Amino acid sequence: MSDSSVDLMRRADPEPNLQLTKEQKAAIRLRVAAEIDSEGDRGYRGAGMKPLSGGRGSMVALAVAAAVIVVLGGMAWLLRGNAPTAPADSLPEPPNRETLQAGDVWVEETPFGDATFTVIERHHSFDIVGTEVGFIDRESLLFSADAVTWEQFSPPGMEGRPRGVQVSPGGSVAVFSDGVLSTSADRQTWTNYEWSEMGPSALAAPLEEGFYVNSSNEHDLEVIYRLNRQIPEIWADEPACDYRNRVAGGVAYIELFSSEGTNCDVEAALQSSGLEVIGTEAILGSVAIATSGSSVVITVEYATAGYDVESSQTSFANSTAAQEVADALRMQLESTLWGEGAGTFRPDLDTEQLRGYPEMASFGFIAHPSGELIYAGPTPNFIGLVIWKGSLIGLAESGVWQSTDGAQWNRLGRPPEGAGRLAVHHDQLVIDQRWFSDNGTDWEMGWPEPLGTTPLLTGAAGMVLGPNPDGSAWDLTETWYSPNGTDWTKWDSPVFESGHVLAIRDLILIGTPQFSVLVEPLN
Amino acid sequence: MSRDDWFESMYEANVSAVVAYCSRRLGRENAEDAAADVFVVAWRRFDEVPKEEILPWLYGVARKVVANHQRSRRRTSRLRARLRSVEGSAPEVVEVGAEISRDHEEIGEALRRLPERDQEILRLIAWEHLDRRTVADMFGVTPNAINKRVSRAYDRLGRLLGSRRRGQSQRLPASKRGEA
Repeated sequence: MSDSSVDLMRRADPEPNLQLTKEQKAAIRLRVAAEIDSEGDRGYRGAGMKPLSGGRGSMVALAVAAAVIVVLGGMAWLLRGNAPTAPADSLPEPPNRETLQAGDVWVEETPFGDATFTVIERHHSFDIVGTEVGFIDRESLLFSADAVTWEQFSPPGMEGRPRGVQVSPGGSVAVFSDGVLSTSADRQTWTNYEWSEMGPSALAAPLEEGFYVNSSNEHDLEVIYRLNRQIPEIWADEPACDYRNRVAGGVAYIELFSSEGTNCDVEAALQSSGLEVIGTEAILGSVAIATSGSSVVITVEYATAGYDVESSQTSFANSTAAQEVADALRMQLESTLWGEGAGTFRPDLDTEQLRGYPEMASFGFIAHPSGELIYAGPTPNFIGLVIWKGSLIGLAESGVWQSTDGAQWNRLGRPPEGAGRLAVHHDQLVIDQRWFSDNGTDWEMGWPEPLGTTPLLTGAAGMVLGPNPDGSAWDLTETWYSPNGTDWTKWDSPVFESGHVLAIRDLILIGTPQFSVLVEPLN
Repeated sequence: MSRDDWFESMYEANVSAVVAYCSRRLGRENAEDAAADVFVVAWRRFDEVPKEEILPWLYGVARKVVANHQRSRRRTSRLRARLRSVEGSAPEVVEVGAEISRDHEEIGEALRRLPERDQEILRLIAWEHLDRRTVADMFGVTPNAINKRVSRAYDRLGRLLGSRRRGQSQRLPASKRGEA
């Protein structure tokens, strides 16, 4: 051991002598009292102090809401510094998102300052596939192949508010609603799945060769949320333990964070919930367990490193606690990162040297030992699932990965810069608004020729919604669709007219785990 | 002693240490929020909280709270990155974290190269002044395992620092190297 390292470490303490003043202590204690009070526990008043109105609970809610902001053109408004400000203690409570109505106004904290919002529309999930567009209404499903004539379906079992819809190229439809997943191949006969029955194959089966764009993940989140409700009861006594929803292309994921040193009994939680483990994920010292149906997937996230899915299963199956899982995963992970001979860190290791593993930079990834294809991630406010020519393509911030069997992964060509839209057009995969590829390997910056002259672009033939093709500005004032990628028609659909917004101008889409609303900031 | 009395006493005795813990990892501006979260957990878990030697338990909770803050920060950072790619005018992300002074910047950089768990163990020992047995209890491993881990982590830290210094020396002009 190096004594100088020890001394240096001690001298580098950023807070060597922190002692709070009486006033500082009182201020923190007030926050504690407010938080306890906001949750209905009125046993503590912080030595006679009055709790804060609203409390930190509301701020946490705001932060959560802000974290799922989906940026369409209007976010620029906030960034330009136009957001009005209001003193923190004068912020009105945001209305309950379940009951938001057009015209509701409130002030909300965003990562870019306080902003005033007005609800314009309730926004509902939609999906695009081939030449068909599927919408979910408040009470039924609407499908159209030409964006002019629409068919309405009301699957039996879709009781309660529907949450989302997914459509496969073959015409199969999956509908999420309260407590039930309904699928149909012909939209006449429907099969319902309770959440507990929903396994990876429930949605994997309809996927066929072709393309599949899942353009909204709100419904995925809802699936997860439903499943997740079984967990908090188990973790209620372990507030230091954490869990997080996870988007997973039709598969419900839950991430249970159980860091070393914390007695979060993951296995007990899973057993009590009746869920089987399909994956674990180590996130910088934490372990996350993804749960769903009957399969087992173990994944690891560590900076830019991936992990061998198959070999980690045994370790997990034999373990009796999350701690052991964490240790087992980390040991193998470290051996990958640190190479032969402990202590030889390989800072130059990048994903190219981990071929065969999906990119793990920040988004989720894909893995399934059975050969069925699952895509886990990316973030809730991002396009999440693409099947291209029968292959599943995952998108991560710094790379695009392709697999035909869910086990071996190849990085495709040049990675896209930044996040953006991902779309598939015929044989071309378009990533962000600046990259395209004819073969999934060679990538060029710009627009694929057939789309270069179109007024707007995003993805699948059938509907467009996106920025100008020259990248000059986000002009979302019009929606165009094309059956072939060449001929484009401005879309004035009955759905749009009836209040289901597709075209968006100066709006901010705020997604919540339940649903999303379109809101417009006020000057 | 009533629950209120216990909490008051416990809070008074430990709040500075918990705020310091959070400040070292999140920066001062977020530390008080995080510390408040820690004490809320302590209040809720009154029946389980050790009534003596509570500080390591509070540090354990704080570690989870800090992790939550950091995850939130990463989400915000990714959102901002997306905004920059869209608009080109989004403000840069100002990362706030443990504010190691410039005088000790090199050790901060070296520390971040260690596995997260090793970083935390070294911080707990060097900054929170916990003994190794307590740290071992916190991580649910044997003291012997912690000893090995600490030894290895310090060795790595030393090598990283040495490597960095050699790199700096090689970049210095000859005259400067002579002065050194």
